[in-house]
Amino acid sequence: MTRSRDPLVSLGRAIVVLVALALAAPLLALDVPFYASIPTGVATTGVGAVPEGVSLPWFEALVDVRRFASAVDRSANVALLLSIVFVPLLVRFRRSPRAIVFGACAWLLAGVAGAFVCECSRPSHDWVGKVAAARAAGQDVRAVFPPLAFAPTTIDAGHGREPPSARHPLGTDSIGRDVLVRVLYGARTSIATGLLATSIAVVVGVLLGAIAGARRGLADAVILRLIEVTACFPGFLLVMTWVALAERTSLYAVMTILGLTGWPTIARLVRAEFLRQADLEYRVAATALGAPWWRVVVVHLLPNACSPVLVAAAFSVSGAILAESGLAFLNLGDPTLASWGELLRQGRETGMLHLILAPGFLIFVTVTVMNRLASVLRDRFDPRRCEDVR
Amino acid sequence: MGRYVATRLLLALPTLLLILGVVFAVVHAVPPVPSVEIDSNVDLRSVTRQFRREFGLDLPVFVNTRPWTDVDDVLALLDANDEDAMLELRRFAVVPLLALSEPGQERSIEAWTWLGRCVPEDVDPREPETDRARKRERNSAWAIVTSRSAAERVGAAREFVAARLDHYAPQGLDTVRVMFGETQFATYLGRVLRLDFGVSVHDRKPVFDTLVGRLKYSIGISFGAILLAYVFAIPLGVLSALWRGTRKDAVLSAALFSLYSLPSFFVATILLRVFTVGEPFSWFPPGGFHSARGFDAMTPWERVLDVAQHLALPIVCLAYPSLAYLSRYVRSSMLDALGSDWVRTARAKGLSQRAVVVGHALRNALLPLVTLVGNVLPAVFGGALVIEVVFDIPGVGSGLYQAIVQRDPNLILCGTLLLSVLTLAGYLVSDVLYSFVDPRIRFGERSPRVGTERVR
Repeated sequence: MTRSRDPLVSLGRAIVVLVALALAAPLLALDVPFYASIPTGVATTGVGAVPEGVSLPWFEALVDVRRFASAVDRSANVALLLSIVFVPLLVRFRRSPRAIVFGACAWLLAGVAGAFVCECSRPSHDWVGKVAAARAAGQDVRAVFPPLAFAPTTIDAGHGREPPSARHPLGTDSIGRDVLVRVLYGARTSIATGLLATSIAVVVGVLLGAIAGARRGLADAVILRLIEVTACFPGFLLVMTWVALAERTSLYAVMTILGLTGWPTIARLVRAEFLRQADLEYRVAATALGAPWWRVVVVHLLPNACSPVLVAAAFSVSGAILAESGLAFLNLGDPTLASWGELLRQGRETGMLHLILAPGFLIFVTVTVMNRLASVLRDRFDPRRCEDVR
Repeated sequence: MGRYVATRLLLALPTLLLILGVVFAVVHAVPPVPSVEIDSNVDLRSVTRQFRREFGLDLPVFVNTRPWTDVDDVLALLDANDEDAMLELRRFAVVPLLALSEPGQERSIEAWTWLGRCVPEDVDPREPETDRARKRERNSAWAIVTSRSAAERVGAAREFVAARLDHYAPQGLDTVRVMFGETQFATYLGRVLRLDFGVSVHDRKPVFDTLVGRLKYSIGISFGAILLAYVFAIPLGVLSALWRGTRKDAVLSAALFSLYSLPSFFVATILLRVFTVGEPFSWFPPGGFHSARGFDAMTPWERVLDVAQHLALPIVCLAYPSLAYLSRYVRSSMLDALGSDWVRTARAKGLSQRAVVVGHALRNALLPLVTLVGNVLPAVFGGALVIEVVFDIPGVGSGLYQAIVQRDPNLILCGTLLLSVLTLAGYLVSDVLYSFVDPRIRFGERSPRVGTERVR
């Protein structure tokens, strides 16, 4: 079998492309120029005046709470800036899965931390309007904008509900925001929900599953009951209720509740794997050589329980993405974030095909990729099923 | 077997209790408010107070700490002039207020006025007769106290309270009873045990009747969807098992896998757009369970057709994820069966392909499929929520959605409980059926259901 025919490679590529698009959204679409050189005059006076002289406003806008109201967006922005450091590092150590996992986690955490450290609030500059006005007045203005000079919140007055055109490649939504831009930024919402909900589920699930499997006895009985109870929790209903009743809808609540109702599958798998390996000779040997129980768990049992957890985590990501877009589709999404489900809701209300197909297709692709990844991994890890693989 | 079922049923109780507790906490994290038109000339304060009394919202949610109210707490309320909080403390404010009303205290007159408002109790006709009798007795005794002269009344009030100290200042075990018993959650649980799920905040109708009235629509589309899923899944699964390893199988598997990953609200939106609004087709009505007008005048046959036309799209949307999942299952259990010894024997004795596949392999492969009803049922019921909202079907799911949007606590709680009971019942039925189908199964831990769970 040649390498290129391995489904994992193409799935990995698809995931990298999706994440890259989500991260690079401000690089492709923002109403702030990367570089601007503004002379005194039309542009520096009036409402939305921009600072004169040479400046790099794009970088500042990335951590501006007025332009990016949600911390999810700002964290992704900082992560985008940090990609200059992390992408070469990840490429350099691409052969080591452990380095890639730790590198990706460090990247993510650095993005979140950076967003909180650097956050700023600037007066709103109308770069697009002012630069255009100054150009019309014949001044020597230099400004380099991203390819699409719209922010996800920019309302293009007079261009509402438009089908795709040269100005808006995927048309506009019902109040005149660019659909392509919102689809790009919506990828962040989906991926962030999938990642965080799954991380919570994995952390809680592995911890409790490991305790139950390693300690047995009372702890096992208690955790097993907890698993049974939590598995019956109507997670989506709980999220809906919380989001609808809370004064301010927030994505973090959604992620947390989805994570806290999603861990039983993972805990069950980890526990089952621990119980299966309890009698294997290598584990008995480790204990016989005098390793304490926690060392046996961390060094021997956990790495072997990794594979079923990975499969369940991939399914959990697609489940969380579906839940997030479903909530937004029911008008219960976070209003400060662009979301695929929210665009789809507008499509349902207006009946405009570009509003239905663009976000729907992306949800479909993302969910398919994650589900396919899960089933490929499952077949890969389970030799008995291998002959059944397509 | 009976013991196993009994254990499972017993275990279901704490599960339901915990689910109810969590949802109760979420629902009451923000107290519900009465729906009043903004411009109407009602006194919002008194309406709110009456509303809170009516729905028992004047009690603490989970833990009642009011027996520990002391003079400082009451003084703080007096300073803040918080009428609502003081009246909600009610009998637990009496002892501190009495201490403050003693002659010589700085705010005795103010405290006495409050005492006069906190002691008298409303007699609620819904309460048991003994409680009402006690309340009437206290109210009449208090009327005598207040009829005394200003010099004597504080002393009389002291005697009044001292004679009923277990009511105004509970001691020992009574404190524990008040702490956990006189709460919203305990009151609600008590009502649920008597199968009284309360009334809706908005239309004051019993929520249980509302939901049960909606159940027939939900059951209609759910069972339609399950039936459709099985009818199509079995032949598709068998064909793809027979075509194993060919291009046809690859295409079919890929198609089914994509179908499984298609979000149903996306498909529903597309179907609505393409088939209902007349651009390009107008084959189906845009929503509802049956035609709004003229339905009563139809003959029974026309009614069936009308309902079928309304339900075709929602049933398809609800059925296809289960269809994709079930057909994968049929395919793998068919492959198991086709590779078995008895099928080889059947072929060896010269049976036709048809007899081998249908008579031998399929019969055995189908048995475990029965048990999957338990897996599919909760998925379909959960998925029905979004589909019912999109297609405007008046089922349980859309009722629950409305309740959530309108913040109707009793309706949300009852709906959640209903769905949880159905889910638990589905799992139990699935496990019990499994033991009938495969007697080798011993009851213990269930195998993990990775990948069969869908959020909706």
